[in-house]
Parts: sequence; C-alpha cells; structure tokens
Amino acid sequence: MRLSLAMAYRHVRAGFGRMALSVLAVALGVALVVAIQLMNAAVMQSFLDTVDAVSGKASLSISAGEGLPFEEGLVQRVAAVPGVKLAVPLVSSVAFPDDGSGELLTVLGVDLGQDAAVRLYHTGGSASEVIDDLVVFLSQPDSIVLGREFAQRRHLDLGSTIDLVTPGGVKRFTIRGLLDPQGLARTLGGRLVVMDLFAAERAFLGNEEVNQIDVVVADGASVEAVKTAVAQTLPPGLHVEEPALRKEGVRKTIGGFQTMLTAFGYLAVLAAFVICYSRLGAIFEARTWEVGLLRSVGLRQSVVFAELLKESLLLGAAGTVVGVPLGAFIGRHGLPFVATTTALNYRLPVPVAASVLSVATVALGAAVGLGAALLAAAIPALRLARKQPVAALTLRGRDTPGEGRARGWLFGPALLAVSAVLVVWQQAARLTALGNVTTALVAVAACAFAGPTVRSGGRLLSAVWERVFGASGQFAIAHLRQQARRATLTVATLGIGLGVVLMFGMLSWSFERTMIAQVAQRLRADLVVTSAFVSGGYVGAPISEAFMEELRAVPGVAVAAGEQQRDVRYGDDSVVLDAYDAVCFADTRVCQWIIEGESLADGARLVAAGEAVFVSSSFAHRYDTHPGDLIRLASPSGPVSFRVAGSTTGQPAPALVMSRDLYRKLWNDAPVSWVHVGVASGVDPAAVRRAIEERLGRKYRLRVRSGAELMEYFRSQVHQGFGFLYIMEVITFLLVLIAIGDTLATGVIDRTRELGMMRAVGLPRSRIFAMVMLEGTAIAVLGIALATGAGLTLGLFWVEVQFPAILGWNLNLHFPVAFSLTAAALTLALCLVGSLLPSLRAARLSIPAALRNE
Amino acid sequence: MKDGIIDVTDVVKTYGSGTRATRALDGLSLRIAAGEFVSLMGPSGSGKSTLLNLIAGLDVPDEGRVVLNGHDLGALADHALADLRLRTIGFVFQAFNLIPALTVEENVAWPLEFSGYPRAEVRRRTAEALARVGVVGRERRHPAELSGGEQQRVAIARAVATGPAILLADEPTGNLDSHTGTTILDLLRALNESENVTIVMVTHNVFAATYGDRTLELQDGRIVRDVRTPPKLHPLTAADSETR
Repeated sequence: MRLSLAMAYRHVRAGFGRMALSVLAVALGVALVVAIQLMNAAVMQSFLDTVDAVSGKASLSISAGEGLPFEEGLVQRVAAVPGVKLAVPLVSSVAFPDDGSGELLTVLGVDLGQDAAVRLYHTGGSASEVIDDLVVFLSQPDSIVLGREFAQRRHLDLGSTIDLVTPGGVKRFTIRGLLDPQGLARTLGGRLVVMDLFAAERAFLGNEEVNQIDVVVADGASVEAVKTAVAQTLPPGLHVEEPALRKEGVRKTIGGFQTMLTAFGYLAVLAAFVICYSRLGAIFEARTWEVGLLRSVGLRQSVVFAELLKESLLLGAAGTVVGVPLGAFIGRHGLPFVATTTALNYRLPVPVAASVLSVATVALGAAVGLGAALLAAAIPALRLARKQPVAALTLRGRDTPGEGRARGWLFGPALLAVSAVLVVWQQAARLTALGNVTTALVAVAACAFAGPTVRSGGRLLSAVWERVFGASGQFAIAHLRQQARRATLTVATLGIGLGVVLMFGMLSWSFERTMIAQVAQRLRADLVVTSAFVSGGYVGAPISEAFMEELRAVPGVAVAAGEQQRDVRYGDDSVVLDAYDAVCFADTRVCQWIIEGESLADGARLVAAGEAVFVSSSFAHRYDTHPGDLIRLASPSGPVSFRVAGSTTGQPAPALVMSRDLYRKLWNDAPVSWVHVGVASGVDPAAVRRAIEERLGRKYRLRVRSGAELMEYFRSQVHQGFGFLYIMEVITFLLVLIAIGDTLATGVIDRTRELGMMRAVGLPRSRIFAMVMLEGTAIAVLGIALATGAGLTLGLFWVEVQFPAILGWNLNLHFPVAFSLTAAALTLALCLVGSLLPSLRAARLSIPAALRNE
Repeated sequence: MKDGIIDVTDVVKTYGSGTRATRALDGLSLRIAAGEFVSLMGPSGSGKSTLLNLIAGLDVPDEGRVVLNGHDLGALADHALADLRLRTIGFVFQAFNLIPALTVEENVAWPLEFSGYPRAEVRRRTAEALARVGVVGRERRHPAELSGGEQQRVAIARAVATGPAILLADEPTGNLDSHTGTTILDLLRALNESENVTIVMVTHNVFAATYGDRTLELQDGRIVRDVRTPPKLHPLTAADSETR
C-alpha cells in the first residue's frame, strides 16, 4: 500500500489551525531572507548604477582619487595617446538646495559644446535636445540643467532660479534645461545638476581644474593596451582604471555589511526552523498511534517517513507562498532604511534604490521555505517512522523516560570548541567569511544547550515556583519538565531570537560607547562648525578653506582648527585619512591626543610638522603597526611614506592622523569638513556661537554645535546606522510570540483531558489559568537565561572579532544593561501575551467535553 | 427518613438542537440519602454519565435543579462549584486520569495542596489514603509503572484524600479485568461502610451494581427501575458471612 499526497493534504487541512503558526514562522523566515536579498541587491545595484552612469560609455576613467582636482590641460596629453578615441574632462561635485531639505544634488560639469562629450553621458544625444538656447546657456555661468523629477517636486521650470549651497557658499543658478528621467538622472531620482565645464570649474573647483577624465577607446583598440599607454602619460598620483573595476571596489566595500544582514536573515530562518521542528514534532507525535497502526498493517519505515515529509512540503509551500510577497513588502518599505544604514556606514550619499522581485529571489525564498520545513520534519518523522509498532500503539507518542538526555551537554561544548578553533583560524587567515560560520555554530550551540537549560533550570525553578506560587507553580514546572522536548524547542527559539537581538544590542552599544568615548577624549573644542549639509554618511559637506580666515576674525574665537577626512586604499582595505591643522596637535583647547603605549619622542610636534603621522589604535591592531614603522600610500602626488609617531585612541576607525598642511599638499584638497573652535578665555561660548551664526551662518550655511551636541549627533548617527536592528527586533519578537503561544497551546491541547480532570476534581478556572501562565513565564525565564548566554557569546565574538574584521573598527566591549533589561522585559511580556490565549482556553474548557477527550 | 444529601428534581438535559436534539435526561427526579451506595445502570445513551456530571456540577441542567448538601448547584458561581467539588466530592474515572508526570504520592497529594492544607497535613492524609487503598511502598513510582488495578486504587486514594462526603465513580471497573474490578468494588464498598461516604457509581456490569444499596436503571433519560439490594446480596457482606 502506498499513500498519496492527497492523504498528506488531508492531514494538513484537518490540522491547519495547528499548523498555521508554523506556516507563519516559515513565512517570517522566508520573508526576512527575501527582504534582505531584495534590499541588498537594490542598494548594491543603485551604487553600481551610479558608478556606471557617472562613467557613461567610457572604457577608462582617470582620477586622482574621489573628487580630487587636477589640471585640465592633461586632457590634451591623454587624447594624444594612440588608441584613445575621445578624452572628456569632467567636474564632479555635490551641492544642496538652499531650502533646508538636505537633499544632495550630484553636479556634473561637462563640455556641453562638444556633442561627442555629451553623448557619452546622455542617451538622448546632443545638448540642444535638452537646452532651449545653447548660446545663452554657455554665455551665462549661472546656467544649469536640472533633473526634471527634482524640478517638478519643487514646481521649478525653465527660467526658474534655484539657490544651491556649494563649498564656496550659496550661489544662485538659473534652470535653462531639464533632464528627463533617463540614465544618471533616473538613477539619482532627478537629483542631478549638469553645468558647462567652464562654469562648473569656477563654481566647484578652481580655474582649469577638473577631477575626472573619461576615455573612449578607438574601435578595434585593446582597452588593456590603451590603459597601459595612458597610465605612462599620467603624472604621479593620477591613475587610470576601468569603471568595471571601480564597481568591483564598491561591491567589495559594501559586501561585508550586506553579508552581516544576510547572516541575520538566516538566523531568523533558524528560529523559524526550530518552531517548525517543535510544531511538526507535536503533530507527528499526536499521530503516533495511527503510525503504529500503519506500521502494524505492514507499511515500511521509508513509506511512513516519506508520507510525513510530504506534509512538511505542503507546510513549506504555504510558508513560501505567504513569505515571498511579505518579503517583497518588507523589502520595499525597509529599503530606504537599509540604504541609509549602508550610506552611513560607508560615508556615501544615500542612493535612490528600488527593489525588484526577480525569479532568482523567489527561487531563493522557495528553497529556504521548503528546505527549512523539510529539514524540520526530517528528525521527528524519522523518529516516528522508526518507532516499533507495538510501542507506537501503546505509548501513543509519549516520551519514554531518559529519551534524548545529555546530548545537549555533549553537542553544545563540542560546537563551542569548533567555534573557538574557527575564531583562531579566522584571526590567522583573515578570512571574514569564517565569522559567519562561527556565528551559525554558536547559534546552533545555543539550541543544543536549550535541553540542559530546561532540565537543570527546571529543577532550579521548581523550588522557586513552588515557594512563590504554591501548588499552581509546582504544577506549571512539573508539566514543563514532563514536556521537556517541546519546552526545549521554545527555549531554543527564545535563545536564538533574543540572543541575536542582544548580540546586535551589544555591538551597537559597544560601537556607540567606543566612538563617543574616543571622540570625547580627543574633542576639546568649545564649538564645532560644519556645513549644514551632509555629503555622505555622517560627514558634513566640504566648506571652502577661505571661510577659515573669516571664522578666525569672529570676536571671541581664540583658535580654529580645520579637519578634513578622506577614505584611501591601504593594501586591499579602505582606511581613513584624518587631517588636522597643526594647532590641533599643540593646543589642548581644541584637541587632545591620547597615545596608547609607546611613541616617538615629541610625537605630536612631529605630526604637526608633517614629519610623522599618528595611527589609530584600530589601525595599529589591524596592521600590527608600531612607532617608527613606515606606512606607504598612493597619493595624487605619487607614492608617499609616513613614519608612525604612535597610536592614538582619538579616532575609532582604522585611520592615519596627519597634519592638514601635509595632506593638502599631497592630496590637493583644501576644503574642510569640520572646524574645531576654542573660545577666548572668559568669553561665553554661546555668545561666540551666535556671532558665528550671524556673521557666517547664512553665507556658508553652517551648523555650529557645542561639544556635547556633536556627541549627541554622533550618537544619533550610530542609532541610525544600526537602524536595521529594529526590523530584526520586530521579527524576532514575532517569532518569540509564535513559539511561546504554539508551545503552550499544544500543551493545553495535549492535556485537555488532564485539565478536565483537574477541573472535575475541584480546581477553579483561575488556578488552571494561573498554571498555564506560570508555565509560560517559566519558559520565558529559561529562554532569557539561554539568550543571555547566547547573546553574550555572540556579542563578544562580534565586538572582538567579526566587526573589526568587516569594518576594521576596534571596539571596547560594553554591555547594554538598559537595552538588555528592556528586551528581556519585552520578551517576558510577549511570553505572557503568548500564554494568554492558551491559558484562557485551558480555563474555559468544558469539563465533560475535556474528560471525553482522547 | 433522613434528609437526602443529593436531591435531583425534574431535571431535563438536551444535547444539540432542532431535529438533531437528543434528550439525555427527561424530567428525572432522584433523592439519594447520606451514606447510600447507589448504582446507576442502563444502556449507552440512557443518561447515566449526564446525570453523574450534573450531580458533580460539571454540567448544567436545562430544566430542574440539583441540590447537594443543601446547595442548589444552579445558584452557585463557578468558583463555589469548584470549591464544592474540591472539598465535598471525590471523582473516580474509568480511565483513572492520573497525571503521568507526577509520582503516586504527588497524584494523591495535589488536591490537598490546592485545598490549602499545611504540608505536614498533606503528607499525613496522603499516606493515610494510600494505606487505605492498599498502595504502600510504591509512593515514588509513576502511574506508567503501575498495573491498571493499582492505578485505579491511586485514583480512589486521590478521590478520598480530601475526605469527601460524596464519591462519584464513572465506570470505575470498566478498564479492569474481573478480578481486579472486584477488589476495586470491595474497596468502594468498604469506604461506604466505614466512612459513610455516599457513593454514586455508573456501571454496565450487573454484578458490580449489586455492590450498591440501590440500583437505578435508566432508559431514555428516565429512571425505569429503582431496586434496593438486600444486604445479604452485597458481595462483600456475603463474603463476610461466609467467612463467619
């Protein structure tokens, strides 16, 4: 006899109510994986599109580093290289509408007089197709072409003027052309300003300075050969690369962060898997007698096993059908969140991204949903199929004493030991991907420890519950221990779910505390002046250096030190160059550098003089750098070496701290992003702040903050940077709610007759209600205990190993007490909410009906 | 005539509605005196278990009333009914209904604990109840480790541990072989005689019914026969007289 899928379907349909929670759990796991996949793909594609669109149809691109200017005259030399069909100079910068919206506009300066140059970027063809009168446009330096979508949002049209904040202050421009949403204009959501090259040079760089040359290779010429030839004509510091390689760089940079998000998605799947395992185990056990009968009649173990798996397939399919659209919904609405987080972490402008549900993503969702359901069913199905028919008929699925004991005590430590080996291996081989395997192993180890937690914790709680809650408490724990396997699975779900939340809480708190503590150590200025606009991540838009002199002239300003930051390549990694005016290394009214360990004698003076650099402690740990070592970097002025004066805790990222005079000379980058201001002795900083705002605020669109306000700003940026934590918390708490409700509801259903008997014997409804609630509370307490262990282990690993491996930041370990207590309290509250319905159901049982229940 | 501690008057109980309505009890009246041992007999669906449930306050009649020890069960709130069951009524089930997670001792003790007895008193009464039903030396075992007869003895011990005035037994020998069933019936009879516990027992077995002072035969929700058993026919009494 062979059973068909129809029988599995009938079982699923008959028990759909009991399976609904599992379907929901699978759906949530699938949804999170699909959503993260969609968001990651959309954000990545958006950044790559931007690279593509800015490079246009060029085969090669020449620059001195992100945004750094160089002489326009170089274009002629490049154009003369054999195999170069076209060399197009470009000014690329950013500006902000002066309306307080903070929207970032990408500015491109192109030689609009050359149709060939325009066609490189604009798919529509020549400039005259978007500009009414090209002669007027070119003759007026205030002419711009604006993205039509952006213009429409602000009710701007041809001839309208718009005030833009540039590094040189606020400037008024006239719209003399509108770009339809194609190419880069579409990628940027219309936030694009195109100017003539000549006007852009003057507004954003300097006379006859550009910051990019795009090269089109002649038909039939080898790109590689032309690239080599072009590279030989370039002065030191300038480099030529294929846009495809730049895209690879972007992919590599953002990839680490996206892997972290993906890892979380799969941890949610693990939690959903545990819920399914628990639920399917209970459903299968309820049919033990039936399976015993089938086996007695002569069905083979393999046939029974296959039949049970079919049910899980239907469950997985239902979860996938619900999960994929849910994931698409979460992905669509969570996308701006993740885009902002990514941009903040990598100091990039927030991209305009749109999620598209592809066949591959649907296939991934289906694989995850069906795979999780099948795997979750495999063990209980195998256990049931292998049960001796007589035992199945007599035991009716009840656990036999001693079943499954002590395995957790073996598996858990074994998995932790393997994890420890992986950590050592990761540290030695610098293999970041191993960290995700370690994370998964620790999560599985947490599952393995769930059994011992229930058994040992149950014994401990037994005495406490009996003492505090009397007989109801004693019964609650007795039942919990009787149904140890089911309780174990719920405790495991809590352990993983809440553990991961605690892990990220610990990571975000350690990150925040480390950054605040280190920046607070260094920051001594009374006031910090930045642009009111953000160019990328948390970094303010650059302000012209000329502003510094005006600032120093403000009454009450005793000292003003400029700071500029830039990401540079160091080996295969990206590190921060943090440049300060020399005064910052000598005057403790603006900066104070805490040196870790040994340093060169008179190190601060050497750095101020441009004879050495400090490295951040993150840099020193990551690259094993010591005072006196030489660090080699590529700069626009060619390869340069810096002597290390010492390592400082004043900069949390992997960074080189140097004199801004040296930086400006080597990188040809004069603007500043921060200015640290010390006020004269006896002068009220608030008065100086007002004076700066009144004198320079309007002209440069500045924001003046006190030290405390700057710390608060950084804190808010960290919170935003870990914004995805909230999505995770919501999903986790939903899973917790499902798990606890499911376990207790199953317990009540299984005990219907027992509860009916207790009511018959004389227990009031309130006692039955209390018993189930107390059981839920006990599970919550055990789950929180396991989650604390799992969260601390995972948190420790991520703070000390994985996060530094991904982003290079060395963090100090901080435990988020308030966050953890809140999460634990929320979990407890959710467990009580989850217990409520089963408790009410138990209390409201009809006694005669319950006593008739089999 | 002493006052009946169980007084059932004109009770009607219908399950279902419309054309599918089944009248389980149809205007049944009954009075059971304190210390009586009453056997309820009748075919399946005659209303025996429904009557037992109404007497226990587990179900509510559609019409009529049930009075226990002067308490009109229809007028009692749920908590008062539960309290009445806990202190006044003991229940013995056909399927024993012991809690598998608890030991024998704990299965007997838990109603006492919920009744609020001090710990020492719980221990004393538990030991006494188990001794009375003849389960000694197995207090730490779990129900699964006992035979069916032993499990039913433990269930009886649980039912009598709180010292109830009324013991309701729903086919207490239904799951047992005849020899074990007889020992359980002997035990019930002994309890009735020594403790003056009023016993209402549902049974299908004529031999078991003869253990009662009265046998009520139900059919279609009505009492169709009310037969008093002569003392000499009580198996336990007869055995005693034979021994004597």
